[in-house]
Amino acid sequence: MYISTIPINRLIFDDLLNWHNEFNRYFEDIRPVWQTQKYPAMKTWASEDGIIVDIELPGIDIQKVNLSVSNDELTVSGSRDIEQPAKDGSYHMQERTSGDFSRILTLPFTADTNKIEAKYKNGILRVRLVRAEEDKPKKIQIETT
Amino acid sequence: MTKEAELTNRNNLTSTGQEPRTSRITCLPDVNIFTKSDETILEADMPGVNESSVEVMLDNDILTVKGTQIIDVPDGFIPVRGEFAPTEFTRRFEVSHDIDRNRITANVRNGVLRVVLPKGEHAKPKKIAISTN
Repeated sequence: MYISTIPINRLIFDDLLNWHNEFNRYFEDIRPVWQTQKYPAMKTWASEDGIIVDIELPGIDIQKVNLSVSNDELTVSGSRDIEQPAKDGSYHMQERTSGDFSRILTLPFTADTNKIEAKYKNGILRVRLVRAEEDKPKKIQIETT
Repeated sequence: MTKEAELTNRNNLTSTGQEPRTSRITCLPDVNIFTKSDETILEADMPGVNESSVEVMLDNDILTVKGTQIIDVPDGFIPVRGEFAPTEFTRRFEVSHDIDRNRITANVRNGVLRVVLPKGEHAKPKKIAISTN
């Protein structure tokens, strides 16, 4: 006769936990729907002095992209042309977006418009914005009487 | 891939200073496929992918495209909002018998992978000579 030294409850919960982990593992590989809805997708990094915004714009003619900053708003707009099939050809699959786009990102500070850098590499536009001097917090001297 | 191999892979990626494997997601790239004179063109949006991180494989009739997004993490900055995580793009397609497998070419430019699949001589229309008896 086989006698288990592990309590039965423990075995059941271990299995359930494993199943739960496996289940989660499948879903962590799927990009959530809400992440794909806004176009173009952006990713932001921040430090005390400024922020970096990465904008996903694969295969775009960078001359057709407009970047503008006013106070605390960064606007990216433009249009994307994609290659079309020949007159006698046809689409087998058409999923890539084309046409005009525009998106506004509200910045956590007023940006210094003289210190904006933008670089396009491998289909990602990286914009570096610096916080304006007059926007930075100032220490106020307290006088004693 | 076995669990053990996957674990080693994760550790390798973490140790090279890239973002950890656990935050990397796999997704299907947006693709356009169309015909143009004697060739079929496949274009896939893979932002952040360069020549060294992209792979195109043909195994029998299955064409697999794979690309890993490479994003330089800026020093001294912390991520605050991410609508795209470091992504691995992967997708498979079945290649028709009309395609000349030896002349398939691929290039990647500005985050778009372009694969040109030319039609083979055997698939082009031929005029059959009519013989007279």
